Amino acid sequence: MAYLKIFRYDPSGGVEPHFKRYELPPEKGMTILEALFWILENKDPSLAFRCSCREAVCGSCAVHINGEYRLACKTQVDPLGEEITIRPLTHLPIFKDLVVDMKPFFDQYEKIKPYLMPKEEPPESKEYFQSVKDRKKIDSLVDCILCGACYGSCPVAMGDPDYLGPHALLKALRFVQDTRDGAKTERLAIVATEHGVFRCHTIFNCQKVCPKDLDPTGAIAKLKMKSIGFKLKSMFGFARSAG
Amino acid sequence: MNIFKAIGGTYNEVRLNPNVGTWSFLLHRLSGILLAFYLFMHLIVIATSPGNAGAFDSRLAAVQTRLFHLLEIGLVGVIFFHMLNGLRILVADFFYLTRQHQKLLWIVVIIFIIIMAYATAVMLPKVFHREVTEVAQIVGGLR
Repeated sequence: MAYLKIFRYDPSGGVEPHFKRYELPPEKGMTILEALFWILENKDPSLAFRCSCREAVCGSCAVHINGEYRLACKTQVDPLGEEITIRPLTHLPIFKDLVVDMKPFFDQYEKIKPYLMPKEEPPESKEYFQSVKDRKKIDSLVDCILCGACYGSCPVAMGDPDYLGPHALLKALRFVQDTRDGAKTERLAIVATEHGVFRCHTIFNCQKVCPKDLDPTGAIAKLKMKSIGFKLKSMFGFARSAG
Repeated sequence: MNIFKAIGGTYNEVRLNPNVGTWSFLLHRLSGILLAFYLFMHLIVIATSPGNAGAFDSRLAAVQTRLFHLLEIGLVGVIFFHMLNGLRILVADFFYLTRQHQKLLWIVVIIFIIIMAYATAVMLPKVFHREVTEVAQIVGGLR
């Protein structure tokens, strides 16, 4: 028999932060997300949590489960033992129970301009060309689902609310390494700041918790080197305007 | 951010992320603060010491106590932990060895243990006001 200890809090409804314990039915193969749905349908219809795709693609259901940030849909109940504690993501304001306000998270993300800014117009009636070799440079980076697990696990985000965060920096590298993109200098100017790559203390938590097994710490390390090059170039006055 | 909020937040981070990375980050910070404090105290003691040699020696004699000799072993530990962990982070960052950070940590731990074992063997006799050679003689006599 497993028990779920879930963080409950409703600032607008006057419910103080506390943990509530729910007993789960013995069911083989049940995920945490299914368990949350079972509680919602059978025990407590007031429980709030986020989800969408149920197959580790949308990144909506990231929560803190037994000492680690994980996706509820990708985590099985069985291996976690008898008592499972679930908390919302940290470093973000709580709306209700396990639902947090992702606005600060996406505000940081938007700062790196997460869209392609091409060097030139595409060939007439064709798409931008990219070789297989060049595509491989951004292979793993495009897999980020922006679930917020890395941001929640990063102690730097606790102390510096302006810190861009592992998610934004990983995506910044995705565009910096994209051969079709023409705004490398512009992006490096955004990340090569005290709230950007230089704020990262290489703690490795983001790498540890990433549900897609990406390496945001490694991405930030690469961006750090590129940022150092960019800063040196800027200092000696020969930074290129683009590309 | 006030100091109480920072301490509470740090406690929360360690509790929610009980990972090797969080602990090494926390210990790196604490050792850094201790070293800054030590450097400050060290400079004060040296800067306020009297000019002539005899008076300077007597000022330094004040820290030649058992407690300070014991703290010196701790100082070696703090310096080497901070230095080796800092090198580990630099190596991981500069050589893109972020996926190997746990292995790098084990290397740091092994080097740290070797250094501390040597430093303790050399420095511990001083805590008991003995020279290393004296201890070697005592150990030799026991055989």
